[in-house]
Amino acid sequence: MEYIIKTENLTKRYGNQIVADRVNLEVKKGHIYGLIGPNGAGKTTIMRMLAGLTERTEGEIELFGERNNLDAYRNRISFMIEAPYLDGGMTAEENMTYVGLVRGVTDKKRRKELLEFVGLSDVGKKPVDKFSLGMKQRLGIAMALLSEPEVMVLDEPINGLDPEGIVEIRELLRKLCEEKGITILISSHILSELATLCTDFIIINKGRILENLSAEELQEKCRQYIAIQTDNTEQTAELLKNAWGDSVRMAASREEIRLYVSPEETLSVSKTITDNGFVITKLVTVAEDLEQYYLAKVGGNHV
Amino acid sequence: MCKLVRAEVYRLFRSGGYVRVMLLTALVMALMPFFVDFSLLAKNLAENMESFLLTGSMLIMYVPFVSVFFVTAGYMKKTAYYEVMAGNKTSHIIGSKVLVDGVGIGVITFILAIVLEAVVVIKNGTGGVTELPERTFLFFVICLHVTLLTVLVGMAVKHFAAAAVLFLRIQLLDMMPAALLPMLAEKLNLSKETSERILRCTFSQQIMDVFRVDITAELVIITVASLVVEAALWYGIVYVTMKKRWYR
Repeated sequence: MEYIIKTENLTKRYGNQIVADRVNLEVKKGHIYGLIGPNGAGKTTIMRMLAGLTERTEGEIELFGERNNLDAYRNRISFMIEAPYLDGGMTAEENMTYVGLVRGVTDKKRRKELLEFVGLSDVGKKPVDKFSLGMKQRLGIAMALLSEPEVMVLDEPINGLDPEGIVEIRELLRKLCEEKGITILISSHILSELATLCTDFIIINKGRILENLSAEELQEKCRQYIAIQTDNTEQTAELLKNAWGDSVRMAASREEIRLYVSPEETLSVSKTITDNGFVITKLVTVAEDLEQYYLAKVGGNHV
Repeated sequence: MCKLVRAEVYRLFRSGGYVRVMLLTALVMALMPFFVDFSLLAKNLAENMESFLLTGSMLIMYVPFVSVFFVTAGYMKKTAYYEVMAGNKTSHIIGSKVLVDGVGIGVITFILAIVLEAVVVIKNGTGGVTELPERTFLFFVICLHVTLLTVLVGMAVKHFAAAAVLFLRIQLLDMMPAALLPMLAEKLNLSKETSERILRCTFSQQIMDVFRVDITAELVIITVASLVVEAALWYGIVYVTMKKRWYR
């Protein structure tokens, strides 16, 4: 399998604070990876190290199979880290021209096509500092596409976009991967969008990779559970814990019990609750989605 | 490196207001002797030397503190980071900025500074001023030294605070030696020649030498060497900070 990006024990330390802790990433060609983690998990730091903006403390980075002279391979990758870097005094086209010149791309037609594609063809001479956040994000994506990269590393690219814009960018990224074989590493807080877009997921917390899994593996692992609410949820949870032990968890709101057992046990669960005098107000079988799986991974709520 | 040079030239000319303000103000300063004394154009070069010395000094002090903001703007806005993320070599990134912002602005500053002098020489002659090509060359070296220093300090600091670093550099290594060296020379047992050589490394003394003294081989060597040595020192600092990936 060809790995476009690979890291081995990649670590970043600021004094005593470890921001990225022995990160082992493997990004396969032609896949879309979602990098998921809470604020401060280390996602941006990892992307900055890949982009060459931050030096690694320890570990190795491999780009296109090479560990030396990484700068030479970075021109095959487009990065958008934290936010698009824009000169507010220039127009959209001037920003595109500048980045194009830096990357050696001078095709004016391509610039116009990309601006049209992201919906910025009619901004004219408006300076970028007058753009909305969504417009700036669109421009950043257009700039990332300018050099026809083989890989795109995008840090929260759909921030600030309206729902239509999010769908457009999602479909564009999918198209770029499927039709042009572009490999994409993307981070976002909007997990529902990543769930529909990504072929692979990397869950990170406190600088450590918690799990790498494909979309198929995620689907298998996303467990079904029985969601229960009663007239006294806390005491019901204690009751169920006596019978089902660690399979019992509380939702973050503390108003719902989640029993991670087979749906076939619904009847015995229901009987246990009612036999002990509690009134069931909710009893449904639910399958976890990416958000719930991720939340359970980074900070599960046990009874 | 060509693509980086083109990108930097594009950025320089698209900066619009900034470049126009800088050029206009530099031109006004360069022409200031004429505004102060309209009869200047009726005099020859020798009679105007002190006026041109003043102009030269003002430009040398002014240009760094205007152009440093242009240099560091790319880092403050982070648009300069595209140069790194695009995989350009560190030496090429530094080289493009040195060439465009350093040499380019240095040449522009030099031309603006000598416009009035050139008009005076053509109209009324030199008035006996000797070694004109050598003086012109040394003045160009000084302009270049100032603008290269500005670019390299800007790239090392990567923040508007580079203006403060420049200010400190000029105060500590230029103004203060000029003021304090005569006092310190005795305490440090420095000979007169050594003191003069040390002073000749400062911008203020170099400008005065260009306009007042006979040009000697030693003066040329010291002026050129001070440019080369300081440029090399700051290049090393910039190279290390870029290799260490010290970006905000």
